[in-house]
Amino acid sequence: MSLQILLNGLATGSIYALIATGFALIFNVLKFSNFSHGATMTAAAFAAYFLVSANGAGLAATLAVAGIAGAAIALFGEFVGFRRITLNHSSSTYFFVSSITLGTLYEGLVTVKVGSNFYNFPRFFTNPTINLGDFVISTSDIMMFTISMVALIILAYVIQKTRLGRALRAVSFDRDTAQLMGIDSTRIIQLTFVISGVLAGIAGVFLGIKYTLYPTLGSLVVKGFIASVIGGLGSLTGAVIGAVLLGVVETILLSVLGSGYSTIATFAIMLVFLLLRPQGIAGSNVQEKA
Amino acid sequence: MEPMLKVTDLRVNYGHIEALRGVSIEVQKGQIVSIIGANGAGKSTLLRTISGLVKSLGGKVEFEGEALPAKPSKIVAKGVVHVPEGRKTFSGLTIRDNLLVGGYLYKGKDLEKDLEEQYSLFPILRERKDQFAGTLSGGEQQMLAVARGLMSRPKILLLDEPSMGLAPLIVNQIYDLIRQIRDRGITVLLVEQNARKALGICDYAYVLENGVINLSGTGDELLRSDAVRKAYLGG
Ligand SMILES: Nc1ncnc2c1ncn2[C@@H]1O[C@H](COP(=O)(O)OP(=O)(O)O)[C@@H](O)[C@H]1O
Ligand SMILES: [Mg+2]
Repeated sequence: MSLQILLNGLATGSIYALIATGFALIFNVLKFSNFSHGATMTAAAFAAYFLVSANGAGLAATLAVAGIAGAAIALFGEFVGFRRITLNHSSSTYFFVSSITLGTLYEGLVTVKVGSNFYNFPRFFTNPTINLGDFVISTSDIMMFTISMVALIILAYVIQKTRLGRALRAVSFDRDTAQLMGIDSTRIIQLTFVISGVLAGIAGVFLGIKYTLYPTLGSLVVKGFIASVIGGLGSLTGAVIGAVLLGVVETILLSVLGSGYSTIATFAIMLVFLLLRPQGIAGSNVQEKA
Repeated sequence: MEPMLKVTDLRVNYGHIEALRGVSIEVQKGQIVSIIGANGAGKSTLLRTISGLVKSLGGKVEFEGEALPAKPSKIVAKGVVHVPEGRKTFSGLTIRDNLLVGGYLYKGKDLEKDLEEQYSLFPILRERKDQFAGTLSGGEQQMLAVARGLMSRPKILLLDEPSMGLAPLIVNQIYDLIRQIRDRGITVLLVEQNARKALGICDYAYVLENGVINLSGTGDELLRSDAVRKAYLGG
């Protein structure tokens, strides 16, 4: 196996990790699977494309705008789709329906704007590859891997070491009790959606760079979803490990089997894994709401 | 003297269930006041309404002469701190993080000082500060829940059944602790099914039955009352 393939797998896996953690964060706090996450990625990436990249802005501006757009969309979704059912402690079905509805709405709006066309981000790098001795590696792979890892490390630090991170964990465990400590649970839930939205925006741009931009790009969220299940739903560390594993396995299979069979093989491996270890890598068996 | 906490004609429903049907109590500053009652009497509902987790249909809760804010997080900031029934420690957070969450409203040096204070009051928590709260025994979790409450700097501490499910020896430790807390100048509103213990420690007590207060008096008065002895002290 060559270094290129490994690096390519790591880059893919790190995008999945951004998706999976964004997904797992919401799962942790509200105990439901946010099926609007994929469409949030697409919409945020398109927003960045039309607002800045199409006008010649660079990667940093594109990522910043995508992150802000993702946060805004996620906040909107929290307020419109989830706030009331959260406060009423409603059944999981409502979360399920709400998140699917929101996702469909976002995707519809994007489709109305762009049709079924494909869009390309401008080339962000003058040199698409870097030569490292005998190896030729893709600049964008290195960039995506590095930025994803930095984002995940910052996230881990915030969650483990800061006051807001502790509050976020407390709210994830028990919203009512957290309020008895002076924590405004609604604010913390909003904060979680903001973080999740920023991760979605960055992931959306990376997917766009990798595969071009199109209205159903967000369906790749499935990969992040699988990764977070493999990792153990709700565990952020598990989600990252699951995602990187998935990216690497997928990329290796792709190079060995070609595009048709590799997808089938990847999903088959994941299914077998979940049969053997349904609770995922990180282990604890949480009950899901939706 | 004006009471520190004054609850007037408080009414709370859950759907069709009338959990509180016009409850009035007063708590004087510096005292321990107990509320005893059977399972389902409405004791937890009363505390949950004072701390803002449950909304009332009618009646008033006044603290230091003013109505309390609506949000639980704002109520804590006023110094009304509720240690809920069943301890509710954050099992997947370390003991230190549990305490720091308790001190969420405070920052920096003050927070460190508060933490140090809890560790000296509860040496076991210092020893195990980096372990998950879920690894503690029931009694230790209750200590942690109280310590976490103290981190919120209470003027009044609302304790919901702190002796629940604990061995007699541990219950005695918890009650010693409640006395110490009172001696530090923190007012205590104690809710218990364990009537003997709760009446033994308090300055004043109320008996709550089916959402109404049926009896009140000093701890000694209630311990001697026939009605209380029949219903709550086993004859
Ligand atoms: N969340 C709830 N939903 C519906 N009914 C409740 C709820 N909590 C308590 N109740 C009912 O309200 C009454 C008082 O309960 P509670 O305040 O928990 O009593 P206690 O703490 O004295 O055991 C009981 O009849 C109980 O079944
Ligand atoms: Mg109770």
